Amino acid sequence: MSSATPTTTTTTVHTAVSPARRVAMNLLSRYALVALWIVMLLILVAVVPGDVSPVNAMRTVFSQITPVVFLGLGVVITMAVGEFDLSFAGIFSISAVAVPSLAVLHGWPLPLAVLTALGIALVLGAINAALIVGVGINSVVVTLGVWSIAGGLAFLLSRETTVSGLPPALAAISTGRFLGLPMLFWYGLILVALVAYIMSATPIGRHMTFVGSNRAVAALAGIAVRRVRVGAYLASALLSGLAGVVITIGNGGFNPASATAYLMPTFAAVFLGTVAVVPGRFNPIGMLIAVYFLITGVFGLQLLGLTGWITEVFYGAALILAVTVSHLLQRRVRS
Amino acid sequence: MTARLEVRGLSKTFAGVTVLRDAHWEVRAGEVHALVGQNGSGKSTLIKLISGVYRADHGGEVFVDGRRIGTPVEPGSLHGEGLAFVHQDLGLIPDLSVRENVRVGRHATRRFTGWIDTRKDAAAVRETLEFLNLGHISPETKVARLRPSERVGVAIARALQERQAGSGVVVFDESSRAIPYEALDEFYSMVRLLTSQGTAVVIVSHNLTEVLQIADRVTALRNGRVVEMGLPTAELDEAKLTRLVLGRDGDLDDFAESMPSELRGGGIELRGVRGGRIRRVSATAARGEVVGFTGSVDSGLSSLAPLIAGATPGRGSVIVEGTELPLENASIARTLRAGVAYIPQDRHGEGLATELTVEENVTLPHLRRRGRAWWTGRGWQKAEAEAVMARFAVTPADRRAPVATFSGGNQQKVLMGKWLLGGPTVLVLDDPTQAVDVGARAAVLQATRQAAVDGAAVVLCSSEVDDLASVCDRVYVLEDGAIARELLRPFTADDIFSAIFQHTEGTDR
Repeated sequence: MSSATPTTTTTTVHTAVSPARRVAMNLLSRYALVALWIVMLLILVAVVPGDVSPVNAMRTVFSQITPVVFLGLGVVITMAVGEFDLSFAGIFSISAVAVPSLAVLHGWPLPLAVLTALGIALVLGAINAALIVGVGINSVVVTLGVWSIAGGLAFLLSRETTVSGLPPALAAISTGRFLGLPMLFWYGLILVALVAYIMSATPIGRHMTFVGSNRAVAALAGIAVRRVRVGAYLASALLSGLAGVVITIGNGGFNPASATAYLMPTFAAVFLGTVAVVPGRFNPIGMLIAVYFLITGVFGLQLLGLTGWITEVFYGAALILAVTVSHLLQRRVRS
Repeated sequence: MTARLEVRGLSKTFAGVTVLRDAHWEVRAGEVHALVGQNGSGKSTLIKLISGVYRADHGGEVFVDGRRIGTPVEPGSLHGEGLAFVHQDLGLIPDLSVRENVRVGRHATRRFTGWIDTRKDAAAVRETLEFLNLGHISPETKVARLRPSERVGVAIARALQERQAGSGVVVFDESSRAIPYEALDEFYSMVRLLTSQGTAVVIVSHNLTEVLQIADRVTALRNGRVVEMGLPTAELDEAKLTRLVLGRDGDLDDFAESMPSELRGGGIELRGVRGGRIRRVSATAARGEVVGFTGSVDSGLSSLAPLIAGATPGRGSVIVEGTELPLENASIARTLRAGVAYIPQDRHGEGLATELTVEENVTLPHLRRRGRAWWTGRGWQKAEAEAVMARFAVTPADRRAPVATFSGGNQQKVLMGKWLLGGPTVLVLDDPTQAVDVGARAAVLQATRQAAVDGAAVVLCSSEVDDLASVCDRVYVLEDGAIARELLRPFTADDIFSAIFQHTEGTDR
């Protein structure tokens, strides 16, 4: 390494970029997805026959009764700390079924049924954490198994049918409207804001980022890596359980057969979210934008007369496209 | 006479940094040719260019017996061209038999079924082993059951099979590190057997005594250049060879002299530390003092820094400012809280999260102290990141850029800054100047010394004698996991070097 003359010099050539252009590029890379979304919405309004105003189209999109925002938050949290969680769909299903099953079929008081549903979710999250973080088993295998077990037990609880019969008055908790949009939308918004704040502005969030990026570095900085990983699994399970509770209350009941349908849109939204707001990182706000971006896409395709099969194809394509774009962005950053 | 292996004008550049420049090299048939140089000198790059692991920059050429085989060199065709490589880890799978290990990739198969013809394979393996005087090894033995020297034989058999005796080149890339001391003679006689038939043997080695003992000629690399090509070992002794490798040319300032530091007592004490290859180490470093630890490759040096930092489990205890930390239940978090900052050797693996920004990396250890539970705070993060970039002259000074976009030297500066800004009581460094360029190296060493001047007890574990001579007040030399010698100022890099190799001088290794 030593020599009289330093023979290697690194010169970094910076091409002069005007500040305005840099800001514009920065905004573009962060909010391209939003721009794309607006373009998509406008095309829809123009193409779809009949009289649809952009505001109405927007309202229809935001009014979807969907647990994907809640589920997506859980997945963002686990992905951000470098973990992988497939079990959310199963946990969502069993929590959603537990509320009407216990309250209607077994006559439990509703608050107790809700608490039990959330308790079941936490227990399943703890099983994930114990096996993955404690014992050190591959997270794909464990969460795939827990997903299947929870999903199966949901059918047992529901006696293999749709359980309904929750008091319709309660549905207002989820589907009642505030400023013309369902409460579910606002709950999602509040949770996203909360998680986004924690992840971007608190030490806990920064620790999560480091655990996800490089566990050894995190450990050497004194971060309790295991605790962060366990916390992520518990948070994800709790959010999935919460999703189950609000959906089942909003609909007055739940059919466990419908739960699997949320797996793809959730993953598609989470990965698509990594190309927005904080490019290259799992982030809640990007995920939220992606959820409604995808709903808009499906909605539009349905208006064009394409239904059924197109949804799955669309989500699959969006997922792969999102990961590819994200990967290419990362590679550009590194080179 | 055409050379058995010839390299002309080989260069390699990684991301704008030239790690090997215009290398010329010639290996003759029937000789043992040693390739020597420090870490980062470019010798492993040269080997990887010839073996096709890396692609050379445009313009270089590689010849075997006057026949051009590259560049680019196709790794798949190397065996056919007569080049064979035995790597440091030998590349054997212990659970498989000798036959399977030797024949992997070139199994004989039955004509119709395509099944492996084990009988033909076994016969071929037996023939090669007999040629190496290893006829007593059965092809069906599992490699795990062989003695280490026999394993080397198996690796050589794989390299040599289906070859005409006396042809080709065999490259041993630090292979002797895998061989225990008592088996080395068998290894050397195998090497001599090969060369006596005309095969050329290249050994890449850190062990200069070994080089002097078995090599006929030596080629030395320094800082990416071939500085001496094909020097006969008959004209060399250990001192001359050392000078060749280290290239003492005084480009490092004597920071210990130019930056005097006042001893303040306290600091760190290692009491009976054991773990990994460390058998028993007791030592002290006072605040304001830079204490070096060094030793040869097998001295256990690489186990020491992680032990002190609580990153690997061990026994004994570390006492920081009077607080005893037993190593039986050590944790990084506890050691860190006691005031010990640890800068690991593996910069990418353990030092920095390279896809995150400089600011995030630099402020990580101080988040809990400087920030509040519900608000990390922005002002101090900006100030701290900018202070690090200014103090260590990190270029470009963009705190929001991901660490991966910086050069190796600048990354090392960021890593140093990350830990020095907290004003640690004890600073533990593990080979901090590995793979950084000359300018960054001086900056890193100056920062190391500055930490001591500012009142930290600094423990520098390094195999770079120049670094140690430049910043240390005292140097402990490890041998077989224990402290063998302690050097006090004044000393030179040569003094340290000869202290490391004292035990091998004179003994016939």
